[in-house]
Order: sequence, then C-alpha cells, then structure tokens
Amino acid sequence: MRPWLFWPAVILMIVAAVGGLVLAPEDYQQKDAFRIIYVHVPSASLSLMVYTVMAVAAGVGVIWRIKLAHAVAAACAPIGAWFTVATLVTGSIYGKPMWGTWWEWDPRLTSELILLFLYLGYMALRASFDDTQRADRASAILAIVGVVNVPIVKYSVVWWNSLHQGPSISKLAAPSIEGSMLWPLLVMMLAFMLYFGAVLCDRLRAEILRRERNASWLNGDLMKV
Amino acid sequence: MNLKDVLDMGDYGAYVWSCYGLTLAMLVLNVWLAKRSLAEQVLHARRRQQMNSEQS
Repeated sequence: MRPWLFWPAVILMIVAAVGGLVLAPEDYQQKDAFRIIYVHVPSASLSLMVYTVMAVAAGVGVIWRIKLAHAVAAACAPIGAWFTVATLVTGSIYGKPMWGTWWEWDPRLTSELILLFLYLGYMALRASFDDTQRADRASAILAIVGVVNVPIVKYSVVWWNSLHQGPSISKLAAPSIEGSMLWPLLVMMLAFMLYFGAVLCDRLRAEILRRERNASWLNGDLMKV
Repeated sequence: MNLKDVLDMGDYGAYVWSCYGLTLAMLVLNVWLAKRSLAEQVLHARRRQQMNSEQS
C-alpha cells in the first residue's frame, strides 16, 4: 500500500465523516437520513470513475499495444466492482426510508446494476482465457463497448423521470446543496480517489508480477510486500 | 448535538450507521484482498526465480 496515498485518504475520510455525521446540519426534507450521501455518492462517483479509467486503459492497450495499460485495466476491475456493490447496497438502504422500497427497476438503479454486471463480465472474460494476450484483447473490447453505460448512469436522472433524486453538485449552475453540507462530500470524494490510487498500486503490482513472473528483470522493489 | 443524537440520527440511525459500517467493511476488504493478491504473486515470483537460479 502506498503510504503517501493511503494515510492521507484515511485522514480525509475521518475528517469528512465527522463533517457529514456531526457538523453538517440535518436536511429539511430527508432529516438525518441524508447523511448517507457522504458514503453513497463517493462510492457511486468512484464506480463510474474507475470504469472510465479501466476503459481508457483498455483502449490505450488495444490501440498502442501497451501491456502495462492492459495491466492497469485488469487491476481496476475488482476495485470498481466493490465500489459498485457499495453504491447499490447503500443506495438500497437509503431507498427504504426515503422511497419506501429497497429496490425499484428505475433507470438510475438499473444502469448501476448493469455497471456491476459489466465489471463482473470483464473479470469473468479475463479469467476464461489462459493466454494473457488474448484475455487482454477480448476483455478490452468489452470494457470499451461497456463505457457507453457510464453516461447513461450519470445522466439517467436527467434524461428519464427517475425515482432517484437529481444531481446535487455536478450541475452547470450553482450546486443545489449548501456549503456546510457540500464540503464533507467533496472531501470524502477526494479521500475515496486517494484510496483508489493506493489500492490500485497494490493490485497493479500483483498484476505485473502475475504477467512477468518469469522475467529476469523482476527485482527487489517489486517483490516487497 | 450530543452522543445520543448522533447515534439515533433522528430515528434513521439503523439506516445511516449500517451504510457507514458496510462502506467501511468494503474499504477494509478491498485493501485486504489487494494485499493478499500481491502477497500471493510475490510468493509465486520468488519461487519461480529460485527454481530458475537452481536450474542455471
């Protein structure tokens, strides 16, 4: 784990959690239940961001035939899948008191579930090949085609009449969320990004070692746990 | 805001705290899985290198 990414992430998560759970005032409609956004929204943002990183890396790998780019894409998949699971689970728990249901086949919820299937499909497809190069190419195509789902998830609440609430911060106009409620959310998102970077470093090292285990250039630095 | 208010979350405590708990569990699990996968690959690579050096 890269300490210069991991520990700042932990500290920022604690700061944002205190900000979101204690310092931010309760919402006038959703009361204290709104505090779920401080874990739900960063998980959801990262589920989309990690997929985008994965698809771009896969694209770079296919176009310029860079092995390391394929390794980055492969390392992203399990992390993104876990963020997607967290989004769906926390969203479901958020939905029960706010909408009266754990699940609804709503555009936002359904497209996020498809995102999870894309991650799982990507990992399953990679695992089904013994040859790494063939696994790289086939899974890259899936990752690139699947990226069309990212804007669908993001704009589903704008394009369709969704049960899910609309965007709060990513609007062209001013954010529809008060500053005292906004800062813990932004800090938590930054913390999640740093955390992703920290976990990605370990996953990427593992992936490089898996691919290059016979290489003579493997040295002490890569082999440290 | 006292401790009881923070824990109760205005009767939404079960929903709010379970979300935070599950997210924390996911974050810890992700770190652990990544560490385990890295440790596994390091072990494999070391073994392979040892075998190669013994053969040569």
